Amino acid sequence: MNDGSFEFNAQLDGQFLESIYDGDHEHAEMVFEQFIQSVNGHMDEIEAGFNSGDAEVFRKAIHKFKPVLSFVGLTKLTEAAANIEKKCTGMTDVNNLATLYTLLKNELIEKIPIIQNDLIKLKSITS
Amino acid sequence: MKLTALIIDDEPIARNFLERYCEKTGTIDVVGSFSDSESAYSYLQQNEVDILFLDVEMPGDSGFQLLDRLIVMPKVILTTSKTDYAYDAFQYKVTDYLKKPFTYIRFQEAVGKVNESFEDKKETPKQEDIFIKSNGKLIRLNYDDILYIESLGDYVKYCTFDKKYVTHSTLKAVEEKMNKGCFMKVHRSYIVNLRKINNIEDYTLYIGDSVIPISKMLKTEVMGRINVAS
Repeated sequence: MNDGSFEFNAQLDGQFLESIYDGDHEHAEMVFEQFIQSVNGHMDEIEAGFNSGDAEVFRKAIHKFKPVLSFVGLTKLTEAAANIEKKCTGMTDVNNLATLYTLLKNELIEKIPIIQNDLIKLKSITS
Repeated sequence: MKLTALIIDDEPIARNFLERYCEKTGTIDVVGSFSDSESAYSYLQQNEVDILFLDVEMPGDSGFQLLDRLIVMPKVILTTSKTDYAYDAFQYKVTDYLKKPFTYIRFQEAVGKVNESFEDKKETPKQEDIFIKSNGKLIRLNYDDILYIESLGDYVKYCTFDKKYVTHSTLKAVEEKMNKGCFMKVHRSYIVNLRKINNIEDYTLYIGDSVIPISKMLKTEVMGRINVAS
């Protein structure tokens, strides 16, 4: 546990992050690290789901990744993922979701360096 | 009192959260953390736990399918990122439903509900045996020693591995007294210890050398209570 003086990047949902880590920066560091290590795997899984054309495979991959985004403060992307997941139900052609998926993907790629920077900052205060 | 918990979720960060939150409470020992239902089921066949933190959508069997296979049911806290399972959660009588991602405060609230139910249980100690009147004496029978109970009109016969006791009672009265987790009425004349069944063939079950009929009406329920490999 730390003294609670850490400030997450303003582009992340700091209020939500505070509510889940409650000043436990060591835990936040652990999760941010795990996120950086696993994000490419998740994105590959989602991409493979999309390319398969099978809406259920795509939905499952999105579903699994959805809460993980919030664990690093990307709560808006969790909402975007939830929206895609919902639209997948009963859908036959995933290509109808191409625009929403591309938006999610691009937004995520843009946010990864922010998570990486906050991870470095977290490491510096917990070491 | 420390509670034991099992975490089942296919997403490693979600498991990490639950492990950390459990550790933070200081009252929950995580005895296992699994990424799929099958591994958890293997563990639960050998071990009992107090709480299951259970995801719903996972590769292979879902969380609900795992619950279907369990004979001894721990307290269940569902952890899922969808709210669509509320009806099923209600049907399975889960203790709480945590929508991922959840805060530590919300987690504590769920654990509090489990604690409350254990407090209630403490007040009425778990019965592991029953006293029956036979030949003018009160005889203690451990539930685990009872194979089955047979109705003989105004009398019932308790059958253990090596003895039989006849007592003045009805099967209905006995049914109310027996541990609901292990015992089940399978026919208008029989209550059996589910843990003692050797095999089942159509509408007949076998316990030791005894052959016991299963009523047509109760067959589905019986099959639902035992653990059948798919």
